[in-house]
Amino acid sequence: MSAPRYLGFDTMSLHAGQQPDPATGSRAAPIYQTTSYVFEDTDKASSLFNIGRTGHVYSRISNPTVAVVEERMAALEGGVGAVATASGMAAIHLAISTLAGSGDHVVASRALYGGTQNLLAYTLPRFGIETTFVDPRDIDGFRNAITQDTRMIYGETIGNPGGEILDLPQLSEIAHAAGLPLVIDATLSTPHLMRPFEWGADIVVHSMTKFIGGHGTAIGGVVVDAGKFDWDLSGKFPHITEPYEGFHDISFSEDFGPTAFITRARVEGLRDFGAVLSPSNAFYFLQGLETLSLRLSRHVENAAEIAKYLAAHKAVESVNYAGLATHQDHDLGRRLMPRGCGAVFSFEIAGGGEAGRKFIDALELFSHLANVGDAKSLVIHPASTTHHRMDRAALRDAGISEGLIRLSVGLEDVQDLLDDLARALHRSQK
Amino acid sequence: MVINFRGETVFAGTGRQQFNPDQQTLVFVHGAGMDHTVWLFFERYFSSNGFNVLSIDLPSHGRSSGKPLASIEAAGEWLGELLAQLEIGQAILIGHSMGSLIAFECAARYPRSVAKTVLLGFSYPMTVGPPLLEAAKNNDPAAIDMMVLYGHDIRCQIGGNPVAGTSVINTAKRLLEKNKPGVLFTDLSACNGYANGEIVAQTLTSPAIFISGVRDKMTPPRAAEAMARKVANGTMATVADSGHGVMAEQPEAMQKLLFDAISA
Repeated sequence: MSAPRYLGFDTMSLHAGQQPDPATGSRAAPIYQTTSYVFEDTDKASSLFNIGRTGHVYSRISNPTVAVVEERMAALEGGVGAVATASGMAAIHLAISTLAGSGDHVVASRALYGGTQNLLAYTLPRFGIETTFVDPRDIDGFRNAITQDTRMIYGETIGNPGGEILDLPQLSEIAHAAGLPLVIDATLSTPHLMRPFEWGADIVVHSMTKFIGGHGTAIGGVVVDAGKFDWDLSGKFPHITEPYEGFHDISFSEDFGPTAFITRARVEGLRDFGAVLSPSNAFYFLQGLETLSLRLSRHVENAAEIAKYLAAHKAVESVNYAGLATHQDHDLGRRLMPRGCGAVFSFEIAGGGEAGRKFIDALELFSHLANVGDAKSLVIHPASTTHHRMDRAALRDAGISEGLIRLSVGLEDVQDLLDDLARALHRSQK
Repeated sequence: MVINFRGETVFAGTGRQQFNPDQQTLVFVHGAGMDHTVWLFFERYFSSNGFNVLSIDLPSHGRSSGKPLASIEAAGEWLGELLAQLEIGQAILIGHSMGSLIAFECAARYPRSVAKTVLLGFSYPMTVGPPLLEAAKNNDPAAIDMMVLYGHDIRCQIGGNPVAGTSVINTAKRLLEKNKPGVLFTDLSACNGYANGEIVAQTLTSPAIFISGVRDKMTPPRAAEAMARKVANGTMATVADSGHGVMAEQPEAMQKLLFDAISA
C-alpha cells in the first residue's frame, strides 16, 4: 500500500465539495436554483427536520450549489465546515452573533475594514455587545482588554487599509489562555497566502466578494470553523454546550462534537437571520476558486513590484506594504505568508488630501470604486469613502490620514499599471 | 446520559429521548480514537422511531472517564457488564471498526444480553500496520493522517458530503486529535492483538450482519465476508462508493441498511 497523501491545494480548489452531478453528469457544479426539495416520503421529511437523516430542506438553510462552495472553503482552510452568507458583513455578523449576545464583549484589532468597524462600534452596542479596540501591534493590549464578559478576540490577517499583519500565533495564545476563540477575517490573504487555522485561529471569515470571487461580479461571504476550540472546557458558551430549547434541546458540543459551532451558525444563524448566499452567486465563487492560486500569485507579484516602485517615488511619503523590507511587520508577514503579503495596501501621497484627489482623478487603468480583490486594479481614498464615518481620532488611531490612498493591485501587465501610476503621481504634484 | 460504572463515568447519547422499557435498545459502539458523535444521525433517527438508543463513549473517549481498554476481550467484557447493569434486556449491538470487534466479542460472552450484532467495517484479524502503530505509539500526528486517509475513500477527500458544508475528512481529523496521548495507540494495539475471533465465530448464535464499504482499504469487504460465512447466522451487505468510514461517507445508504438489519 503506497503512503497516503492529502490532495493538494490547487486540486482541492478545483474539486473539493463536488462530485459530477449524479442526476446529469454535469462536470461543472449545477446552479440548483430552487427554494425547496421534495421529500421522498414522510419518514424522510420528519427525519430531516429532526436531524435524523441528511439532505436539504429549504435553501435558506442549505442548497446543493452553495454547499459546494462551503465544503470547498472548509477544505481549503482546513476546517470542519463552513456556512456561506449573503455578504462578507453577513459572515462577520453570523460569526459574532453565534458567539455573543447581549452583555457580551469583543476585543478587536483597531485596524479593521470600515464596515466591520461600524458594526462593532455602533451597531452591535445597540444589541448589547460592546467592543474594545486595540492597536493590532499591541499584544499586551489585547490581553489587558479581556474582561469576564469577553467572548472572542477579533482581527484581520492584513489590516485594511494600513497593511498591519496580525500576530496570530501570539493572539491565539492569549485568546486560548482566556478560554476564548480567535476569530479572523482572512479576506485579504485568502487560504492561498495563509491558512489562519495553522497559526491558531479558531474561526475564519471571508468576504468572498473579493479575491475568492476575484472578478467583482458577486457579493458573498463565508464563515469557516476549525473545529478545534473546546467549548466545554471554556465554559463561556452555554448556548453551544447546554441543551438549546430552540432546536430540539440539542447541545451542539455534545451532539455534534467538532462541528458544534458551524452547525449552530447554520441551524440558528441562517434559520433566524436568513442572510444566506444565493445559488447563482455561489456559482460565481466556484468559478473564482478554480483559479485562486493562479490569480493570487499574479496579484502578489504585481503588488510587490508596484509597492517597490512607489516606495522609491519622490511624490510618495510612505508605503504600507508588509512585503517591503522597510515595513514594521515585514518579518512577521514573511513568516505567516511566505508566498506574499497580499495585493491590497496603502500609501501616503505627498501633498495630502488635495494631492490624493488629483492622483485618483488622473488614473486611467485603476478604477476608483469601493471594492478590493478584483482582477482589475482598483483605487480609493479611505478617509472620504470606506472609513468616512470614523471621526478624526478614530481615523488617526487606525492610521488613516487625509493623504492615504488604498490600492488593490490587479492582474494587468504590470508595466501598464506602473505607467498609469507614474502619470497620476506626476499630475498630483502640480 | 451519564452512567456510573466500575467507579468511572460512561457517557451515552440517547437522541435526547427517555428510556422506554417496552422498546428494543440499540447500543452503538464507535471505532478507534472516535466517540459517540460519529453516530449522530443514526442515534437521532432510531431514537425517534421506536427504539431506545445508547451511543456510548468507550472509556477515555469522548465524554467518558477512565483508562482505555487494553484488549478487545476486555472491552467485550466491559460492554457486557455495562449492559447487565443497565438492565435493558436483549440489546442490538452496532459497532464500527474496533467497535465491531467489541460488539462481536461481547455477543459471544453475553449471549443473553445481545439479540443481534450489526458489524460495520469489520475484519478478523484486524491487523494494523507497523508504521501506523509506531506513529500512534509516539503520538505522532502522522498516525492521524494515516487513519484519515486509509479510513476514507478518495472521493470522500474530494467531498460532496451529504451533510451540507462540512468536511468528513477534517471532522475525522479533529476527533482523532482530541484523544489523550496513548489512547489511539491502545485502541489500535487492541485491534491488532485481537486473537479470539475464531472462537467467537464458533460460539456465536445470534444473528450477525456484516456491512462493509466496497472501497474500504482498512477492512476490505472480503474479510467481513469470510467471517459472515463462518458464523452460524451471518449475513453480509456492502455500501457502494464508500471506504471504511461508512457512516460519514454514505449516511443515507447506511441508514437504510441499518434499518433493514435492525428490523430483520
